[in-house]
Amino acid sequence: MVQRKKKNEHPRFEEAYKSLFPTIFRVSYRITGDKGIAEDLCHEAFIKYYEKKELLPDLEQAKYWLIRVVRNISLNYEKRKIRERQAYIRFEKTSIDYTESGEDKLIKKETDGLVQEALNRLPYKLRVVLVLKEYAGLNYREIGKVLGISEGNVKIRVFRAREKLAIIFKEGELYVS
Amino acid sequence: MCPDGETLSAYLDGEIEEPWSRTIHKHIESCGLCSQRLQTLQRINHILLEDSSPDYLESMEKVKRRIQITQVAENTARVSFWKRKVTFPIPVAVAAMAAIVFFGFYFLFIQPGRNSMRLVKIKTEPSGSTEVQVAAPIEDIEQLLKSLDKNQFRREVIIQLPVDSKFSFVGKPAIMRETEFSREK
Repeated sequence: MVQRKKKNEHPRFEEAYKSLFPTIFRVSYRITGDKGIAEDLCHEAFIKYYEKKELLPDLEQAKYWLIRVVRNISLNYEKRKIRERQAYIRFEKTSIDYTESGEDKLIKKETDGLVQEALNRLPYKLRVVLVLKEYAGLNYREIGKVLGISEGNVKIRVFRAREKLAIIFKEGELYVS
Repeated sequence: MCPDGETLSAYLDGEIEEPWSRTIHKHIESCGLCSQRLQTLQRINHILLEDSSPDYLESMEKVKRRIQITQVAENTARVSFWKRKVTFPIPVAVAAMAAIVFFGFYFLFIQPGRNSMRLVKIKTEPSGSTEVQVAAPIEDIEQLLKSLDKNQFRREVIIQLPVDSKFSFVGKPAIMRETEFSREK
C-alpha cells in the first residue's frame, strides 16, 4: 500500500531512470571527464528529479530538466577544479619530485583517452555546448533553451569549440592526417 | 562568396534553413577550399562520435543503489521536536521581536526603583559627605576597581564580599607547582 502511494507520487521515475540514464551519464562524463564524478552528478540529478513535486509532461522535458541540473552541478565542479588546479600549480612550483610524477600521470592519461583529454582542454562554456550537441543530440534551439542563451550564441560556441578541437587534434598528431 | 566558419559549422549540423542550405551546398561543390573546411569539421565530429564512452550499465546499477540508500535514509530520518523548523510570516516575527526587546528593556532598566533598590544605594550624611553603596556581581569586580581608580574625587572604598562566599583553590596543586619551581631552579 505504501509502495503504491509512492508510485503514484512519482510514476515516471523508474521509466525516466531507465531511458534517460545513458544520456545523462554520457553528458556528465563528457563534461567532467571523470567517471566517478559523472556518477556523482547523475546521483544528485536523479535525486532532485525524484524529489521534484511538479511532474514533467514527458520524457523529453525530463531529459532537458535533468541536463540542466547536470549542467548546473557541473559548473560548481568546474569552479572547484579550477581552484584545485591553481593550488596544484602553486604546489608544483615548490616541489620538483611531485612535478615529475604528475607528468608521468598526464602521459598515461593521454594515451588512455586523447579525445576526452582534448575536450577537457576546451573552455567550459565551449565544452558544454559541444557535448550537448554531439553527445545529447540536442539541436541549437534546445541547447539555447537548456543553457539560457540565444541560438546565435550556440552557433558561435559550437564553431569555436570545433575550431579549438581541430588545433588540439593537430597538436596530438593522431587524428588529423 | 565563401560562407564563414560559423555558417559552415551550422550547415553541417543541419541548422541552415532551406534556400540558404541549397546555396551553400552548391557553393561547396564548386569551391575546393570550402569543401576542405567542411571535411575538417566532419572529421572532428567523426572523432568525437567514434570515441567510446565508458560503459554505463555498471554505473547505472551503482547509482541506482545509491539513490535507493538516499531515499531510505531520508524516509527514516525523523526530525526531533527541538530541531523542527518553525516559520512565521515576517511581520509577525518582527512584531514579536519588537515586543521582546521592549519588555526586556522595560524590566531591566526602566522598572522604577529596581536599580536603586538592589544595585546602588545613595546616602547623604548630615556632615555633607555622600555614601554610595554598590552591589556588583562578582564578575564585575575588576571593572568596578578600574572605574574607581579612574575617579578623581576623594573617596573611601569598602569592598564587602557576600556572606556565603566560598573560597577554593584554582590551578595546579601546590606540590606540582613546587616541583616545577625547583626544577627551573
